[in-house]
Amino acid sequence: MTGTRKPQQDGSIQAVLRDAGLESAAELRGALENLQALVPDQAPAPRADLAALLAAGAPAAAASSEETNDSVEEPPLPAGVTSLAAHRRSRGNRRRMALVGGAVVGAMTLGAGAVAAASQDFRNSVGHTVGSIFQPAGNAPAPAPSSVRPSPSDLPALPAPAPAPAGTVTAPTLQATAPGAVPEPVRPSTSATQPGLGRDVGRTGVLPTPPQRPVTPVIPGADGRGIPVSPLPTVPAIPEVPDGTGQR
Amino acid sequence: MADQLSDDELSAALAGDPSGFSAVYTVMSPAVLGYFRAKGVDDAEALTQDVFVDILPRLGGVTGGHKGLRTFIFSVAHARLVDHYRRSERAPHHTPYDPLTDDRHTVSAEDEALGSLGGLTHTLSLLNEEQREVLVLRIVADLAIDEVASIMGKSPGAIKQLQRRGLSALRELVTEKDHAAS
Repeated sequence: MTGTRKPQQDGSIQAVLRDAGLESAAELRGALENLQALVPDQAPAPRADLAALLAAGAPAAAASSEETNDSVEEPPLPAGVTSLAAHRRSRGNRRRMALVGGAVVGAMTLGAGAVAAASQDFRNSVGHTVGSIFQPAGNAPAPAPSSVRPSPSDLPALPAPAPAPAGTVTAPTLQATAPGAVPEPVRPSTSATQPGLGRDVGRTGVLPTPPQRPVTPVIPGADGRGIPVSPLPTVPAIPEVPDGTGQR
Repeated sequence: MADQLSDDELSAALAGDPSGFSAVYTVMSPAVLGYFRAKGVDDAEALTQDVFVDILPRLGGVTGGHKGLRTFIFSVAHARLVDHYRRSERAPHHTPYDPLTDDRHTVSAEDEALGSLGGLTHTLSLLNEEQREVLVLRIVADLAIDEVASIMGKSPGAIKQLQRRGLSALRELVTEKDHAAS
């Protein structure tokens, strides 16, 4: 293979070796000749796209300029090269196809909607959903009376624990209620103590109003926990305390 | 194999004439293919054809005659090779069937005849990347120092230095191999 090297190519090896000052290195020359032998004698067979480019260099070059103006007529193409102009011309057809497709899709949507409306199941499901929408509106007023109901029902139960601590253990129950969350019971508790009453009355006539407040709203809020014990007894407790003590 | 482009072919190619294109491909593609082979690319022919598909439509802007054309083609080939290496780094590693690890074979006559070539590619792969690039561009692509410098983006002095070191390293490797063989 190295015997077929042309003198000019040998010259390049010679030049490289001379540049490096290694002209006498025979083994290096052999290696470089082997390296040069990697260059084949013939060009590799071009694949399809490259062959098209080689065979029709001018049309390919014109293709780039053709993108700017479509009206240019292409020169005849060699065999094996398919022109893309036919596809370009069918843009109007493509638009027409898109219109037809849109019309078909719209008609199918309308038809499907009509069939769905005509079917019994659909009407049933619509009736069900409409009914389910109106149902909660009818249920809504129900909770209001239910909240009202417990307050009178709990009322008789509450006084029972109330009288026992009322006189003696008012202070601990108040402390227990304070963390319970409702600040309002605190006011009646202070009012429950006799000196507090006098002072509040002295300032304003607010006293009658605070006892009325806790009675109605606090009871539904925290009936079962025993917290209302303090507000409930407070108002009636004052008169009842002597009764409880009297009983005991 | 036409060793050099005629002036007519060159001017035709630079003017975008198809006859010039095929002449450029016939003359230049073997060197590009050898360049990729020397760099150990697995599918050197495909990469060579990629290079020519890329450059042929762009020949109109090339200046500098024969040398300019050669430098342009190999600068594109060099960039393609860098792209190829980057892509192959990201791609999953292929482990093809290696007939040499298969016991059921006899030594092929072609391998014996061309054994030195495969050995040379292996030897080149032991060199520094830049030294190998300089040697391949100088020997296989047959480019001058200045052209190699412009392709690799270095000064001619640096290319000379790389070439000298690469040659001495290659000489050591070849001598070691000869000693090991004998």
